[in-house]
Amino acid sequence: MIRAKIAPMVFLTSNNVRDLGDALKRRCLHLHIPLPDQRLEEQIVAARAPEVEEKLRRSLVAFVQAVRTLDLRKLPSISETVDWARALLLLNVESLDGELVRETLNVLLKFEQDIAAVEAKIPEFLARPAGA
Amino acid sequence: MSASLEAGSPLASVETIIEGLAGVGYIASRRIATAVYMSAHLKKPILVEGTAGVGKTELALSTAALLELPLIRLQCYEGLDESKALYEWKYGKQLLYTQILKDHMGASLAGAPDLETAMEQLRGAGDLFFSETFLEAMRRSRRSCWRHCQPTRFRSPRSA
Repeated sequence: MIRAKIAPMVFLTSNNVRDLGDALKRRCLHLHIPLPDQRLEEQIVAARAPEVEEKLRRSLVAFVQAVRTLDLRKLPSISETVDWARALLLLNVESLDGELVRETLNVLLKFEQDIAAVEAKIPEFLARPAGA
Repeated sequence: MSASLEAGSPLASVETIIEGLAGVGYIASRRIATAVYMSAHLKKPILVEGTAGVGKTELALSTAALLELPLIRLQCYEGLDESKALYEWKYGKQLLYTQILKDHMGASLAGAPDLETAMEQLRGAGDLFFSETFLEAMRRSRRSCWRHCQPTRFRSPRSA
């Protein structure tokens, strides 16, 4: 008989592709991680891409938040926001402009139709005050 | 990974979990930290749901980093059942071991005069697939931890 001295911690992760059985659900604590709001996402970007200046951080997160209000095939997630922040850093970007957003939209969106939908909205989204 | 819940442990309170996870780069909402706290103290698994890229796997990785414990990850897919997950762990390696075992057995059993003696020798050779090598959780945990467990019915080929 083999017995653990300390119980292991178990995380089951699911992105709702498969339906999970009631028996499994009953035995687990349930945690749904939603897409973050502006404030939390700024904190996450600050932790994951600390080199990004505060002003750029605020405006890039605000842009992603605006993108998430659209009806897209795949909304950008936190990992895409962090990837975008790192991409902008790599390109030595100090502030967002329409041209630049258009050129880097493929970091944020993974479907051509989503990119087209967002492209049409770039001027509007950039005109919004960050954090609003 | 396994967790210690003593005072001073990163799991001592919801607040220490939020702080600790931030320290390893994971910004956890109160709800997330509370789930981790309850999971550790109630010894229940957490079922984490959410869209891809929201930080589900990262939560497990970060908790492991916070507790300085190894993470054993089992990637699930359609058609994976418990017999595959539990008994076919490192299946490729198991096949190789089988091959090596076969070669060695052939040599060491060659001297046996009859089938019965060969079977007896085989029984004495230990059971490789129930050895430490294929028990991932034990292999990865600190040796002292598992050597203290009672080894009834558990026989390592080296101690046999």
